[in-house]
Amino acid sequence: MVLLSVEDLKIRFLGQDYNAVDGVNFTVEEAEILGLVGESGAGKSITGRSILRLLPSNGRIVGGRILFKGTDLLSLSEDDMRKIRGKEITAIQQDPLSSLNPAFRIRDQMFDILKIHLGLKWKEAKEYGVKLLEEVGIPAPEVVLRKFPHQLSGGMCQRVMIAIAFSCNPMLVVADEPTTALDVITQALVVNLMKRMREKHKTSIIFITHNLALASNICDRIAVMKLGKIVEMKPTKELFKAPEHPYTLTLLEAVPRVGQRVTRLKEEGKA
Amino acid sequence: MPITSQYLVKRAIYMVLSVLGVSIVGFALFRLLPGDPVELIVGPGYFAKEEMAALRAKLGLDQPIYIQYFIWLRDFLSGNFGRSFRFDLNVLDLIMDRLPATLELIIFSVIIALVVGVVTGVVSAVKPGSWADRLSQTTSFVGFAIPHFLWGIIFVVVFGAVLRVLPASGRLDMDVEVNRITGFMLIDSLLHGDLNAFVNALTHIILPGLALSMGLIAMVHRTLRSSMLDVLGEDYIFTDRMKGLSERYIIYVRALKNALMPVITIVGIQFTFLLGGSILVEKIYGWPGIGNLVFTAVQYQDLSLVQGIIMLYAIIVVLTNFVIDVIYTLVNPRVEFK
Amino acid sequence: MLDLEQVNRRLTTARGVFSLLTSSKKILFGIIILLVLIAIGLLAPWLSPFDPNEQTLGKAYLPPFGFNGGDSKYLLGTDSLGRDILSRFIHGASVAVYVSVVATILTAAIGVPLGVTSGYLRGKFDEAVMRAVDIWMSFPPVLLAITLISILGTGLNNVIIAIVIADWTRFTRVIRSEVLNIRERDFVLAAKSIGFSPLQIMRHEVLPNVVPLLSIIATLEMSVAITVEVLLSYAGLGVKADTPSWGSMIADGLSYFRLNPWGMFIPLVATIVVILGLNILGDGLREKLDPRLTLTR
Repeated sequence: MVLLSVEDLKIRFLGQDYNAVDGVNFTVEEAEILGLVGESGAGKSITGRSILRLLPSNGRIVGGRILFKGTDLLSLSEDDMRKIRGKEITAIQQDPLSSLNPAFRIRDQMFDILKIHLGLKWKEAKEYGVKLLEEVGIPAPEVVLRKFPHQLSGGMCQRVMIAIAFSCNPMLVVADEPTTALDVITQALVVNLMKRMREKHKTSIIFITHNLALASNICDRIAVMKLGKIVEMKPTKELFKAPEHPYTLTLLEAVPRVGQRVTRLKEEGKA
Repeated sequence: MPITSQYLVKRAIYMVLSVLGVSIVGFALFRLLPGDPVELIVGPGYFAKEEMAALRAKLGLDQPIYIQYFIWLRDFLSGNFGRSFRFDLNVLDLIMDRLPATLELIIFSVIIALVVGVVTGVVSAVKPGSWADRLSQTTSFVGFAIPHFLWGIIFVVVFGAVLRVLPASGRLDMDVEVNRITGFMLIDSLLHGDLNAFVNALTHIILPGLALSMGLIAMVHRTLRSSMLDVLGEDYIFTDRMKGLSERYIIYVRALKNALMPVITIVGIQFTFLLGGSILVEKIYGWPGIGNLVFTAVQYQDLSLVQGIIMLYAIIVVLTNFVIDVIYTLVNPRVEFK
Repeated sequence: MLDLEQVNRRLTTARGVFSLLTSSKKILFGIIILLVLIAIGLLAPWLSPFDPNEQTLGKAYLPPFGFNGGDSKYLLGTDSLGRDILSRFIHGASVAVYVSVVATILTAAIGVPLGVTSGYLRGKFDEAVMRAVDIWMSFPPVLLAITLISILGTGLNNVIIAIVIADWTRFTRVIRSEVLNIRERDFVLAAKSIGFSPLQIMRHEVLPNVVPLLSIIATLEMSVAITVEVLLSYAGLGVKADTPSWGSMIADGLSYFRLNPWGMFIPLVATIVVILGLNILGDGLREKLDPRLTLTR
């Protein structure tokens, strides 16, 4: 069942004369993890943000539709969009330490979303919050709830963010480089955590990353982006077995393998 | 928030040393005043040398300076601030009588500055470049460039004399009376339930309060605008928006709390200037506070009184800095006392 | 930090200075006001139609020419003692120029060497200077100025001395702060490694790079000086009774405001214009020389 359908999406930044995202098409099924992979500047992050309609102040969506459960998100009013954000669609960002408000305790930042979308009161929210934190593997959740973000490590903050993102059982989570700022071990923990959440809550995830190897670990399908367009989109196994687009090949080549001599990056199309 | 007792002790020592330092400088400075205070007290006419010498000895003025200082210090620490030549009252009583007036004025100004500055700062930051923003910035600039007492004069002229809208002297009209409880007219009148007096006191405090607040409004506005712009671009604001929280809540609660931190520091720093500014503003508006007292005290070389006032200012400044630091840690959980 | 390369390129030639001065509306506006002020001030003896202290008691409280009762001889009217306001205004301008320029030069003369040596040499000397600055700054400046005048007595030169003693910390702190940055720059380290003595380095490397900042602080200091003069004169603690300063004119003017408001308006407006002009000039210079310091965006 198709949950999200992005049709011919075009996004442009003010002052530029080209589209940062230029006619992108993809779908996301229920409980599917789709990878958006590409190098910096490919347009993956901005695509993710456009699904939430939270572009930076100089960004504009100049074409296309974003159909979520049949409704074009781009046609909704801001008030209606706000009902969807946090409840149906959420996002996780790259730097966990700066994603949480430093002036407020963890519990304030977890309970607010529970209050407006699920109507929970403080006590109920607290019980639920503790359960959520346990689910993401945070020890002593009651203590953590009272802390401030700067008192937690990056890994713990990202788990908190994941807890927040999944707290209202959204249908779609847009995760933009969620593990890039973490060490390798925590990375693995977070990836496993996200897989578990998908299993348990049947949530779809759009996993944005520049790391193709990481994407292959978690994603069911991968869309490769370059300069604002999707150049190839296939189920993960097929992509790695039989990549078609030369750019995909370049990306694959760029992953260093043990025992391989490092040479110049093969340019697209050349042998 | 870890306020260690170790910190408190260190801080207390530092504060005491500062105040002492100021007291020494003030004491020395005033002993430099030319003229003989005894002659001033005694007035014109001929007095026998012995009588003047006796008076001098009584006032301790015949001792060398450092002994005079220690005598003063000993008295000061035991609560005896000396006696004013001019007013023939205890310096302490005199100061305490007039202190509430000055404090009320300064606090009123700070409140105005915070309210106006924060609101305009937020508006400017949320819509940078708009006409509201540019208007606020220009007004800010002018408000800051023109010094307090010039504003005081401008307001007296415009509102007091030309438009005759607001009174320009004293704390109350001649025929209005409020029995003193705290010394703060605005509070006392409310405590008595006397709305008429309250309004009266309010109209009297508006002009001097506004004049004093102009510079601070500008600084608050500028600082808050800048820090709000920074905060609104932060990742955690994106998170809050992603959650679907209302924009108003995000701006006025989530973002503002973060943006207020530098503002608090600025207010603290500007406080000394407010104290100084209040001196002139009080004179212009005939406000019966400490500031007005300063002129008389210096003119008459009333040493005890002047020293008392200097000590008062030093203590106020040092205490205010301490309070500001405490408030800052409450607002910014990342800062710890060192 | 100042973009020193760009700044030095602009300031080292007269052409550079000229282009800097005309490059911004703010700077242009401020410079014009400053130049007009200086011109009026310097040409006072020739411009002023009357002796500023010449009293004609029969012709007191006249409004400016063109208003009812105005006299073409007294273009801006007369004050309570029949003195020509225009002449007093013109001489007041020269007082303002004198006070602001001299006070600024003196505070710079103290503040710059102190700031440079303190910031460059650091150590105990720096600590001592900063401690002194801290104590100085916990005195409300107004209180300090009033006290100093009481010690020194009134009069224009004493006013200047009071300004300098009360405000020397301004230059010192800002210059020192900038020097703390400059001393870490490559060209300073290079000079050190060649073996220049600290004195030589301070003179040849640090000092020239502090000059642009100087101009910005100078405009501020000038406006402060004028403010303090007006303030003290208003309180009767400024210039002596026969010296026509804008401050004393404002103080006088307020007392006979009902009879002739112009006596107070004119010096008040003039003071405001000059102060604003200096501040705008300072802001414009900040924009061009060190955008980080700008007060408006």
